Amino acid sequence: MTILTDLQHDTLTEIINIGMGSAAAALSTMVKDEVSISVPDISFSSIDAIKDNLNELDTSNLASVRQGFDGELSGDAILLFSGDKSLEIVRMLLANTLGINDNDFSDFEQEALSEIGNIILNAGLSAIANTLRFDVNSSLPIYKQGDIDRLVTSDDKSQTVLILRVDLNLENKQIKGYVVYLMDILAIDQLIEHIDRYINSIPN
Amino acid sequence: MSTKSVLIVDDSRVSRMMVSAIINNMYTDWTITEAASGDEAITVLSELKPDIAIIDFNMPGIDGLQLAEKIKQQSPNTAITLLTANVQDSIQAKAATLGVSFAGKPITEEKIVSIIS
Repeated sequence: MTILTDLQHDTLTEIINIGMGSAAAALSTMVKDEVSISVPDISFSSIDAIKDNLNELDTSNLASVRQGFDGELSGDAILLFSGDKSLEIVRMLLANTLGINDNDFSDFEQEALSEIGNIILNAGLSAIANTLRFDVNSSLPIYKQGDIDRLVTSDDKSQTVLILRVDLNLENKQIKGYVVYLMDILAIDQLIEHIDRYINSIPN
Repeated sequence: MSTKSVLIVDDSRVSRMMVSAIINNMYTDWTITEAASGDEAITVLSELKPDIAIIDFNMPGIDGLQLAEKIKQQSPNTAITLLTANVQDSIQAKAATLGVSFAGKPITEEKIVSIIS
């Protein structure tokens, strides 16, 4: 099991905080609602453990946007919302800008949520990459709806992954979401290297 | 402001619709052309030399910066802005090197006004 030193853990928490602050600001601009974020939860475990960490969502009905990233750091970033709240989020995004009426929202659900995921996940990734000074390439967002086993997957279920989880709350609509980053053991080493470099670059 | 032509390139239909709606609300006589990929945009460029091009970065096929280079070759007077969720410093630096303006998503009316003015 990989263990971070206190300083590495603290640094990673702060960097994820910065990333999710950007993500929350982007989401807030899009849906015109206050978005609060939790302190990042960082754990190393098997991918199956994610289910236990999403206890405030109905894991049998989730809407997700997944975006792979590679380059100087590789892994997957996943945005998860309750499946039954996804249309509400789309309505919040589209109502003011496009004047589309309620009956039409379902036509745009997949595309609108893909774009919301694209913006949130990229905001988080970009902030992390900018802070640690490396480049990542992100793939195109993939939207899926279904249960947690279908949405949060890994090639090797027994493998240790780094799970970074942040709770997003849309305050006025009481909509909860999660951003989860998955990284395998090789990526964890890459990340620790970047964190150490960042720590060493801080003047004494 | 005189009539202008705008090319919007984004694989997200919702994003194209949002940008288009904001411009349409302000300038009803402007011509707006949409493309869902860089390759589609290049096809459009054979017949259209837009005054303004607003392009996404992460798209299927060529990316927004590769497209910007091609637009500069084929339509040097087009003012190009990269409008993307990928707000990494490295992308912004590459855009600046190419002489391409940069705006980060999410799309807001203020950003679009700033891009087209």
